[in-house]
Amino acid sequence: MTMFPETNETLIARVKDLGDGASWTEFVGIYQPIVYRMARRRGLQEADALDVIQQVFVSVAKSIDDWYPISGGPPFRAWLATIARNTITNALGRRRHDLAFGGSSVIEQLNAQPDNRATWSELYREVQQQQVVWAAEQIRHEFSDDVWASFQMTAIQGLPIADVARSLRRSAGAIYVARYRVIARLKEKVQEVSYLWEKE
Amino acid sequence: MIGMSQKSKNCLTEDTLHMLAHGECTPTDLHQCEEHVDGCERCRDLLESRSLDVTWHESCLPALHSHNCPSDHGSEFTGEYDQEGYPHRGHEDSMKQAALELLGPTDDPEMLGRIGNYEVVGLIGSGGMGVVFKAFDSALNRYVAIKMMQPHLAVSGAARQRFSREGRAAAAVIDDCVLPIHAVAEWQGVPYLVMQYSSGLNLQRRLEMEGPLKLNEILRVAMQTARGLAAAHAQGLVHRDVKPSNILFDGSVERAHLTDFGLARAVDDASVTRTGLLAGTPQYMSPEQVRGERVDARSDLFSLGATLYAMCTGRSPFRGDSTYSVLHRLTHDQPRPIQEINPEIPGWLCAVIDKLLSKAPDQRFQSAEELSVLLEKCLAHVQQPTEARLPAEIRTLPEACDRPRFPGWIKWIAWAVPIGGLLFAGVLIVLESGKGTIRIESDADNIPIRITQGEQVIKQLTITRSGAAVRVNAGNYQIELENINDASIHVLGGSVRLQRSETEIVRITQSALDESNPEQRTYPGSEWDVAPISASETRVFVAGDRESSMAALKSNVKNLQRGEGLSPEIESTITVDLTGDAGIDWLFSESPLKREPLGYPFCLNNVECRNGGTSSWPLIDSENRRMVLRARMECAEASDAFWNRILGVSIGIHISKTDFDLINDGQDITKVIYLPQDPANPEVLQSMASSEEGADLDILEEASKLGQPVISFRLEPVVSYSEESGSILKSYSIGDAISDARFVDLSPRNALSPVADSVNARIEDEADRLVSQIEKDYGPNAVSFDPNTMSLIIDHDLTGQQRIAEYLRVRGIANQPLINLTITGVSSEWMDDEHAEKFEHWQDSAAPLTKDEVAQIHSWHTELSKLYYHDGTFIPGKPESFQIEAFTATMIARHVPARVGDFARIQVRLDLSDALSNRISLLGTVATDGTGLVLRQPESDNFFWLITSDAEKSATMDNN
Repeated sequence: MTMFPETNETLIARVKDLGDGASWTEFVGIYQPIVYRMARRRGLQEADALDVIQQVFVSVAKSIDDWYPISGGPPFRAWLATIARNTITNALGRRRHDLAFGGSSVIEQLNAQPDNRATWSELYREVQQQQVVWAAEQIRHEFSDDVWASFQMTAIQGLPIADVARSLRRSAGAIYVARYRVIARLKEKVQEVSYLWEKE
Repeated sequence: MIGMSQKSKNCLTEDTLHMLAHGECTPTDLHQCEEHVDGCERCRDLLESRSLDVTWHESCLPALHSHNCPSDHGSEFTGEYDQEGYPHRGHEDSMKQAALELLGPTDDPEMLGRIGNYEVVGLIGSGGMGVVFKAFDSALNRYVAIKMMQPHLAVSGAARQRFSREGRAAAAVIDDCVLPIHAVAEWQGVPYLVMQYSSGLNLQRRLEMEGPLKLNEILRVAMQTARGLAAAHAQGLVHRDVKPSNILFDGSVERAHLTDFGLARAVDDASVTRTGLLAGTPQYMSPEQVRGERVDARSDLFSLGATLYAMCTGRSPFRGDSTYSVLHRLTHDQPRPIQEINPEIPGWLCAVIDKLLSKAPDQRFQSAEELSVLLEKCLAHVQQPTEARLPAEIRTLPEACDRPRFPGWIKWIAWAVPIGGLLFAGVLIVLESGKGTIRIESDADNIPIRITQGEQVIKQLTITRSGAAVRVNAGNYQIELENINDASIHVLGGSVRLQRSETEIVRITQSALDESNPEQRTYPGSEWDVAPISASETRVFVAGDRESSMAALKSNVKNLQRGEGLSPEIESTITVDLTGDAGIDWLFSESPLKREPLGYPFCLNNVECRNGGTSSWPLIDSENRRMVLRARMECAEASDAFWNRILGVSIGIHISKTDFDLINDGQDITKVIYLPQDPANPEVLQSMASSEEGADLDILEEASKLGQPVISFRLEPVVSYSEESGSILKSYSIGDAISDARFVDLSPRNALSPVADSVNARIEDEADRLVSQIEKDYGPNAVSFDPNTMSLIIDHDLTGQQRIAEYLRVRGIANQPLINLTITGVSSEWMDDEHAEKFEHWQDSAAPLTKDEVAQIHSWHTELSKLYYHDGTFIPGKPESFQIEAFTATMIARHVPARVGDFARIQVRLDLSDALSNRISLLGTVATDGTGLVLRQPESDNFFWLITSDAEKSATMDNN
């Protein structure tokens, strides 16, 4: 429940400067929670996990300056995703799972650890899931409460259409249509950020 | 109906499914679908199988099961985490939440809520300024985007007002390249804009997804953006936030729309006061904008340059670790050369972008219009390299890597030469070459030159008047004079970028004037320089090619006016093109060529005049002195042979400081351009000025003795009342009491009111003060104040009235018969938003006109429009601009009165600029309800004229 450390202000300013675009916002929105969860799973304290997040994003942001387009090369977003994956696995994958680190040297210690391929697949899984959650958050505001509830109760909670229709006082047809609309939009939104988890 | 499985004509089609998925169904269609699906098992099955498919089960459902699926609104990740490491939500996006809470209730469960008459379908975005809703406009059966100011920003009254004001100004910009704003309104005290709904990508997004664009697309997008900017600039509206994310593509990606005009400033208002920080992203801001200086159209051109850079390279030009370093870089550093990042971008485009990214505004292109025309030509060149050449202006731009090789004045001379008194007697020799040809023309003999490439001397040769052509490989070359100390010899276009099979021309010129001081030599100061330019001799000006001759002459003017201390004497330049170009019929209704199939053969500074063969310009010099230049055609009766001799000639007339001085001393100056009776020199026009020949001479008669007069120009002082200092325009402040009493219907003026006496006493005080202020400027007895009408009446001193009327006339409605104006109110109070609102209310509720009034105002409009437009009519909603040297005016008729009693209002914006490029803008409204012309000066908050036609004054007088 802690806010990011203060230096995060700089990061946010930087992010704004560098991207001014949806890609970076998306990117941060999706990767931040992933990095946090993965770091915590590795036994890092909350403050250290936040520190790892910051290190990762500062490092990614810095490498943005190295990017320039090569004809036939990857577009910015794909490139960004690759850099992020490398940075994250470097930060997290090279440490032993049973040790918790503290202090400012945590990244150095992490970096000193051997690579762990398992981190890659964990990261892919996390990204795949997070981007669906992210997409759902993104599109939530595009639908009214009724439409969203129709989707959530039927598609996620698995309640029968008729029950949902009754409880929302809407026709079954409206529930069918609402569910279709939300899911179609969700898939579309997920597709927009698919670059984040497609393997090279 | 349940259980029906037959396909009926109402069953969902693929099209319907697509529309449902993309939110394109109208609410009515949606409800019909729901109704149908309710009873149609087949369609239920279809929807179910399309919804809960493999993708859903394998990737979506597990994710949403194991993580928190958002349920209520306001669930944006905020950077906090809960104990399990899941993002903590619902805290910081209070902005979206606050916006959603503003929505009015709706009956339709499919809808989020309501804003005004719009049913809100969903929230589709949010940014620094506000939130964007997708909404349905049921009246017009279309989707719209509603951009609503952030509610917390709207707490600031100034920001709110500005948002609305800028929104209204932006709504007036109507252009294919600008995303249309349908309406500006307020909901629950928060202003919002209703815009065209655009489902396409923005440029930022495309750059991120696709990287740099292709050359022709770069040019097309830049051209369209420049056009959009030109349309806005024509109305005096500066965008302030040109950047890739504000350029939207429609579905076909064929057209780019510029959006978010002027709104950046509204946000600045709010956020600066709140946080002291700059709002928005600085990457595309101009240096002057970053420094918080006043910005004009050229600031947008810098931002467009940065956007072009991003289109070429996929990234913005100025980047850094922090906002501060970005700001530092864009005010101090040069961006990394484009070709280093993307070698496919041609050098000339890099040069264009470099020019746009000049730190100093006057080093950039000077108008979006100019740029869009240029880019259009470049695009034509890229699409058809063999048929369309690169425009000359582009070819002469210094290459990106070049540093200036010459001191400034040499460049300046190079520009000044074509309109100075130069001899162009060279003969051209053209040699075709498989490589590339550098053609050297000279109007002097025995000039030794060398051609160098980098450090290496490629060729040395001596040029005679017969010229020379040199074939060399494509590349960059310098052509320089060798060991010449003669300051009268110059190389024009000595820096050559030669392409294969192309020919570049270098010109060696010899100035005809004495060489002691180059500036003085070219511009003696008191001269009106007349540069006869004939078709056959020069490649700069071509007969019939009005555009390039205009452009060339204008470039000169800009160069001069920009100064660098070079020729401060030149105050203004008027260009007359006798080109045979269609479209303009300046004062030549009686010319013999008018009857020819050529159509309208002449153009006077792009301004048309139909009033009996004269045209006039109001001119203001840097010291705020005014005069009128009246031009008259003097050759209507001339022979066809004469016309054939002058066709294709452009004349540049420079009005110098000395001219202003003479005029200011009370002298009139007449200048006659005439064609000498000299068959040996058939195309050179001569000029004669009364300031040189003696004021008492009849200059026109003198010219007739020497040849056939073509045009006469007469410079007259406008009015010689006392000088004001500082501002071009006068402002008088009146107090609250007059202001309220005159323009707002307030009860205290009611005689029965207990405070009536004190209010009247205050009005009297204020009136005395106001009258004495005005009389200080216009002399005694200029005005009096009538407390009954709360008007300033200028009725007992005709001179005073004429002075004031002339003063106004010279700015807005030049060359019209004097309209007798009554100033009924002069107030600073109106600039305050609250008053502006009241005023608009007052104006809106004004009574319909009588027949006479309609006729009168209509004729005024007609006169006004006749003066400036070809067709003499306004099209409602379509802005019309005209440009003469001193100012730009843009007018939009909201409604055009058609019948008696119709209400009409024409918005007028006058942009005045003097020779030092100080600008001042007046926004005006011409209303047909008898309220006349209202002008105010935005930002300075100190100027407001309200003028009514004579009718009201007479009525007032009659009543008395």
